[in-house]
Amino acid sequence: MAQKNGPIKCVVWDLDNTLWEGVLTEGGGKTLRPGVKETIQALDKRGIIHSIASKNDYGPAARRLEEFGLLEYFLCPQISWNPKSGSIQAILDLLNLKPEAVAFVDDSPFERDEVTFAHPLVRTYDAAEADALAGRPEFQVRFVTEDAANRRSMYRADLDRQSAEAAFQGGSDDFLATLHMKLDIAPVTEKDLQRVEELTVRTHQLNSTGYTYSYEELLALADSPRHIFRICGLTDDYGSSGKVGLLLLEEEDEALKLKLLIVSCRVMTRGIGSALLCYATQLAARKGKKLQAEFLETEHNRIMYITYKLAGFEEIWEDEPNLLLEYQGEAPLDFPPYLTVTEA
Amino acid sequence: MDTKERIFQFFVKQKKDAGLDYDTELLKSKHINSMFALQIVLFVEKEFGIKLKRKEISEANFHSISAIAALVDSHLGQ
Repeated sequence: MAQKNGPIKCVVWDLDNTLWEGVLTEGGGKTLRPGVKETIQALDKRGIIHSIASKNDYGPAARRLEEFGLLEYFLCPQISWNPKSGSIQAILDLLNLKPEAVAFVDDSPFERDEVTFAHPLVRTYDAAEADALAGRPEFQVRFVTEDAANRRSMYRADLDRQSAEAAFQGGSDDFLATLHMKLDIAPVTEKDLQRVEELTVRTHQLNSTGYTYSYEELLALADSPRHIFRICGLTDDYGSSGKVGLLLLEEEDEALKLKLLIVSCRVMTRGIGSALLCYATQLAARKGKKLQAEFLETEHNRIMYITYKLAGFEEIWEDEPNLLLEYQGEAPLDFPPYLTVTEA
Repeated sequence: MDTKERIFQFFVKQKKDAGLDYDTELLKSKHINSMFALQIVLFVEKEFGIKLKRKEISEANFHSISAIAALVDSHLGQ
């Protein structure tokens, strides 16, 4: 079940009487409410992003945010006279977020209820709670990784990419080719472990097993001679997407067994999951072994199951929800043509 | 419009691919990304009002428009 106690990834703010004092169209909005700016900046540093759902005219509201030095913090702000449930839906779609990862802050009980009715998993907060958000458990992160500190700019690059794709007149593969994506696959080292742990905690849809490992277990796996543990970074013409994928294989006598495949949801449309599967088939071929994959069905990871199956994997054993899949192809898979892969 | 044509229209709309026909190899040449793979499965289920069993999601059933149409028709009893 989706729970309302997991980590928050994005805070959506109302403006009037929440972010600032008073109502902008009635001459208000001259001062920020106490503690709000500090909260936004503190959460931003942790890699929690911000957006806006406000009933206002876009131009004046954006200008006022600019004057407060806050506009840059907000991704795809929804400032219009439409219902806020629709604004939240737009934010979920544009940023590829699940509702349970979103917090909504508004002084109006009516607006909070309207959002809750349409999105029961979105957590809502009264404006009076705004200055204390950074102290609440659901807004904590265990580590502030390099990826977290850059998350806002990575999301912004994603949005630019999406606009470019919408304007592009051609097939998706042709569009991906225009990005000049470079995937860098390297062994996991100790300095990567915080990001590894972050990926395992943050990623649900593109996670083949949902296994989580403690820091100590991850450290042991990175040193283990029986395991192949890889992390991959992605860059393209729009900038770096940071470390976006993880692959953990265990070497058995007859087979290489994929224990964990995780891809950040931000890059779901860019073929990274299948590229890592290609890589795994190539590793197995080099070692002359079969490639098998453990899969644990969860509520969210059907997309990962489909990725495996359409790449040529079939069930060879099952005890629901646990599955063991095996790659059936005779030759290893080639990397997609739109991706340049380097291996450290 | 028959099953194949409805599926064909989905691919044309999504991939805007001029060279596509009913028997074009979809999986080997195209490197379908995870999101598009999910979209195909969800489209088939919604468009034809069927629910695919886990095992039916396979390379064999999705390698071409003809193959997907045969899978759909087996659900529709045609």
